[in-house]
Amino acid sequence: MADNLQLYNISEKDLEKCLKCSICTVYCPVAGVTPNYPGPKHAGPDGERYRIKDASFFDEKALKMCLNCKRCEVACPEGVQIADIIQSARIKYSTHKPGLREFTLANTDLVGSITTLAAPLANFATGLTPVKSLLHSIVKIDKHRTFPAYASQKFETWYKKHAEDQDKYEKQVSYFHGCYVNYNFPQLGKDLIKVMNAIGYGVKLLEKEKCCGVPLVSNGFSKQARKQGEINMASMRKSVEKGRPIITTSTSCTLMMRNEYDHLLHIDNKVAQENLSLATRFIYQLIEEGKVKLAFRNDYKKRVCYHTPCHMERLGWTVYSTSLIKMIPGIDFIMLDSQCCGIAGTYGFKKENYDVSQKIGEPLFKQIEEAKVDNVVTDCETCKWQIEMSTSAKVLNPISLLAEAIDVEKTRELNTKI
Amino acid sequence: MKFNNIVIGGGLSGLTCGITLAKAGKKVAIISAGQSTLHFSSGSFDLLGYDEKGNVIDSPIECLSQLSQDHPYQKIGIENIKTLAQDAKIFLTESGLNVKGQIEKNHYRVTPMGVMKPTWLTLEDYLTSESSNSLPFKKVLLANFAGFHDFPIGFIAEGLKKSSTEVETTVISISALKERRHSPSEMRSANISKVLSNEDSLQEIADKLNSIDSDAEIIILPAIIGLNNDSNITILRSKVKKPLYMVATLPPSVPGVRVQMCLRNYFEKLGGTFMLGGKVESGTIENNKILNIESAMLPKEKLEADNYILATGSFQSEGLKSNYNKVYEPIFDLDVDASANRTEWVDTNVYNAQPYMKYGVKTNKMLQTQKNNITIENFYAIGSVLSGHNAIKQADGSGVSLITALAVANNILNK
Repeated sequence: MADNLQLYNISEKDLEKCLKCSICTVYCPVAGVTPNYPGPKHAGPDGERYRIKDASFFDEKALKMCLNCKRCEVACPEGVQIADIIQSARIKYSTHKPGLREFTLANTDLVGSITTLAAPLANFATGLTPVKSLLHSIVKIDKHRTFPAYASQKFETWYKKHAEDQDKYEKQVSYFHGCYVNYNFPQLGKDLIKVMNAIGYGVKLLEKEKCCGVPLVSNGFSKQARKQGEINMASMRKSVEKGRPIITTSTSCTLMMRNEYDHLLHIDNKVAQENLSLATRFIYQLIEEGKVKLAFRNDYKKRVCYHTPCHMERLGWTVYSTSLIKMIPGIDFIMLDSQCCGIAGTYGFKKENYDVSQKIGEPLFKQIEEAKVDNVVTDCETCKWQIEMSTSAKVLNPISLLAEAIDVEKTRELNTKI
Repeated sequence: MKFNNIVIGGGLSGLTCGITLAKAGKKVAIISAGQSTLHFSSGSFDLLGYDEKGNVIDSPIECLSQLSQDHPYQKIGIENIKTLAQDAKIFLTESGLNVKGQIEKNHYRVTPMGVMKPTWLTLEDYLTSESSNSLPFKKVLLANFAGFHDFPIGFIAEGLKKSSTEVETTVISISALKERRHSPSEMRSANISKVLSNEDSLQEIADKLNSIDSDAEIIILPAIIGLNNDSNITILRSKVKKPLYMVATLPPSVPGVRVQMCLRNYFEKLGGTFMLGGKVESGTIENNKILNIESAMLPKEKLEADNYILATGSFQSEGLKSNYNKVYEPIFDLDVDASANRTEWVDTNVYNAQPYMKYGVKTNKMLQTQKNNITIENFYAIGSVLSGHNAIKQADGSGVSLITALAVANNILNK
């Protein structure tokens, strides 16, 4: 009886475990650069106590400034789900109707589909100063932003032409490529297939893939996010039934589907929790189990540094990517301090957030310039945009680095023998 | 995933042990469930400040032998502690933390309430005194930043005036902080520290301090400069004409964050793997040995090592927990030194030494843990999770963390 009393004395998202110690505030990138954001403790557990009693305590303007980087949660010694409290409050209480800008930034799928049709024109246009000014003043997307270029051919379209090759492999995985690989950077998808094929795995796509919902939730379209999430989970269930685990190359998509669908959008995501993994983790674990071996090119030499994306920090899987990178014999490796780059998905694209976004990233940019590396390596696509816009560095996903470094033929030989 | 050593807990003791092992060439992982209580640090490290009766101790090393037999220092032995204390000082310096002090004689730090407390080592730039009731200055200028509430200069001035030192107080207004004052609840030490960490603000602080017409010998500031390292303190000191000293503020502690960051950076530079935000939830024990452990953020991943070190802290960090029936160690349910009778946990006078403060996991002389009275050979405990000491009443917390961490690292390396 005595034990049970305490077992059930737990509040939603561990709200009541907050000691008000303010450690979260130390690690909040936003609170450090602007006083307009009240900080995670106040916006999260402190404010929630009032909001529970009276919804009028919801401060839309302040809570909108949260990046959802989740560094507060990682820092919290008591395990309070601070960022989730803030995001849930935004979903629950916001009365703000998303506008054209939010629609454009949130609907990566729709906008991506339209834009890839006319990629050269779109890339040309979004690069023009008058167009940037128009976006800046009317749509309120900041003019300083370099728009991520759109590919002229979607990854899915390219894949269809090569789908048959993948049937040759006995072992198979499904690849949740995400909007970024599909519309902006199909090369990463191609690199993944190169690596997976070399270690003896065929790569399939999910029956239906929708945007994971990260940009939808942060721009106020949580209902749509939920719908899309259900479709993704249904596709993943089918994939697992066929014996194909699911891998990704994006930390934010992974975190959303694996760790957030259930409590943020109330989607049953057990399938993702058990079968969805980052490709780097998937490959690392195979190597450690002795099921896979990598052979590297003798002439490969590079100096790289690793930037820990915020959502990678939250996942706690940095060790998989960095361990994999360190396996490459020709790599001179530098670990950067784990800190936010400032972009936080679509956050930094908004005009009102531009200055905050760049200020947050400043210490990281400085560290990168001082590191004098051939490449920055990171697992997040929006970190890549931000770092490439704000520094002289070229950024690679660890999978692309692997694709460069492995000796495909030797790796293939090693893995057919196993 | 395999390592030579896995440390559970990333605070002062965990990092100290992890760094020492990594320096010896071991592959080490530290797994930490959130940030540590270093964020409440005073900027000093205590070895032993008070005896069991509460009397101030002048020379910690001379009083060690009087400690009760269950104190962690007794397990390590006085001769060993002399060496380890030297090692600790060297180790802190190597990590980028310059400290002053020695084990032969305590010095005194000033609390944010203006009280002088005995301590062992203090960060170089902090105000200390060799005497418990006086400062080595005739007159000091105590300055605060306008709008910063976590540094009550009234209290501090009252405290310092009890000595023969004259105290002048002043408040300076820095332009970079004007905007910050729109949000008074977030005028916290760490935030302010970030805002002031640029050449212009440091220059402005120096100019304002230099323009004050005062015959004070030194200037005292709240410890809000130098969040990542001490370079901004050095810059500021070079710009201010009078000698400049810091006094710790209310939490979060800027010197504490600096200690945390410097140690973590050093650990990672040595090739260590620091995993933050992952609670270790369980482990497999077989034949009196831990085979592997599992962390919440790494599902289905068996983390293996030759030796494991428990550095999870006390009740505040959830290294120890209690329910209505018992005090327990939540990961492995290790044997603990704690009364089975709940009424004995507390003293009803809140200011007395509380018995529960001495509770912790049971260890042998090698600081190996035990479960069901059987020693777990490859599992050691260090720091605040250990039983037999009282960080608040005896001011031995950070000393126990540093000394036991170094001792266990040596025990493992000499195995």
